[in-house]
Amino acid sequence: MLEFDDQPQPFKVTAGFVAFVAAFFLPVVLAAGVYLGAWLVADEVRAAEARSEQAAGFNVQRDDGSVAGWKKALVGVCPLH
Amino acid sequence: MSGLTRTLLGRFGAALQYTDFRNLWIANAFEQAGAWGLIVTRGILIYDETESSLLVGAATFAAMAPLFVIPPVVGVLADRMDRRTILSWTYGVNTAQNLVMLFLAAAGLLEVWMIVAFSGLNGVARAAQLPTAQAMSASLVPRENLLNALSLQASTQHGSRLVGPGIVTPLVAGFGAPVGFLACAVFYVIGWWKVTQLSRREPAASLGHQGFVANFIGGLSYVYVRPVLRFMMVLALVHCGLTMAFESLLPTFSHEKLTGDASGFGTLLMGVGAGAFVASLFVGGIQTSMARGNVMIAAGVMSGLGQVVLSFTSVLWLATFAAALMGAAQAGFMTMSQAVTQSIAADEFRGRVASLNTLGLGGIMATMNLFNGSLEDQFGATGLLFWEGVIFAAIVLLSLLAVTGRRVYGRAPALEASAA
Repeated sequence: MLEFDDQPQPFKVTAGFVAFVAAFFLPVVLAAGVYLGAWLVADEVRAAEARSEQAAGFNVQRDDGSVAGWKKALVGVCPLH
Repeated sequence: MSGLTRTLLGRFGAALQYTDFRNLWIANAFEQAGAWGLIVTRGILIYDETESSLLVGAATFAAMAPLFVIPPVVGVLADRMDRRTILSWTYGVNTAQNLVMLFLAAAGLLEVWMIVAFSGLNGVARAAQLPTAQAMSASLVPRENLLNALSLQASTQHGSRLVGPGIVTPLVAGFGAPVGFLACAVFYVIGWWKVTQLSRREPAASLGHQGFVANFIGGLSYVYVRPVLRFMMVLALVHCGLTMAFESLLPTFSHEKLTGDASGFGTLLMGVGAGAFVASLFVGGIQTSMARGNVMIAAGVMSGLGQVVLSFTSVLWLATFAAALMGAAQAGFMTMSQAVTQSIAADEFRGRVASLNTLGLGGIMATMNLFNGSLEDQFGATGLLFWEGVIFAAIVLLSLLAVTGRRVYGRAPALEASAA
């Protein structure tokens, strides 16, 4: 039932091979990068959020622009931060 | 044993007639129950101590992170040395770390950072155990029973999510975390005992004196130059990315369309698990090449369409039914894809092929969960479920146009030997 005639082709390092390797490894690298990046900037983003909440509590104009947008996005994307 | 039982066992449990596979299957069942029981025990303990979901998540992440690092190394090891020895080490490490946590918890000395560190150790052992056990399964049964063997392993994997926490949760609630760690240690010890009963098998071929990197690249090129193997592994990767990375979408979907909050999430996950369990058992009874191919196409299409159906539901019971359908199709498709992959791979490459699968599939699911989680604000969970499901169903149908695709689905008789 599971007999396949899978004749090997000659091996060459082609763009296809690079894409194949990338398909298996890039997601891992990306996931690890997002997690580590979010871990590095999470404290800064949380502190900015806390300052913003505090300002809102005192009815002062909210200011959460003290932290770069990409840092907020990174923490927002990571489910563990 | 009645005639019906014998017939059912003969068909759906055919691989269990082989002593080594039976021992590995039992070992795997106890290992999975222990692993899920441990996730629950750690989670309850950390949450009781800190009331922090983030720390619970950190412990779970620490247990899963090694899946991104360890498989390439273990894959090469599993092709270089006796796989039973690797499995023995993984069960030994997991038993030991459970016993240490048991004594530390009983003495009141167990701190959160220690639990997170032990989670990492548990993750390393699991990341070594999973591809090794998968590669070993394929070498313990004849090819005609391979699909059955992998379906039994898959059903254990899904069933253990129910059994492990089902046994450990009341123990932890009633008697405290130390008893939970004790129960998990018992699971691992039983598994370890069954591993020691496996026959010793020397590697099929020597990998020479090449280094790890050269051996691993050898595994990559081995897969790449074989069209059917490459096709199957890439399709499984796409399948995992588009249809199996739904965890981050379901809480929002429940909130948006079902219950007004995230409470439907657990019910939907149970639906997925129940469907996956039933389908894994069913797939093991498939006996012909054509039936396998037909079921594989149907499972692939349904895996996508199940998600589409789910996206249209607005009542919890109907959504749970759609989730079960989706889980069944996903599990069926993945079991068959693993069987195709492992049946093509020569034994001396099975460790590396299994590790590549573990790494790639785990990575794409983690990344797509991140991707879905970040896009749901713009497109909504419903829209993402719908479109990703449609795209995967279309990919499966389009793959029928490719010669290699037809070979995978058992539609190229000239290229396939006589059916079992």
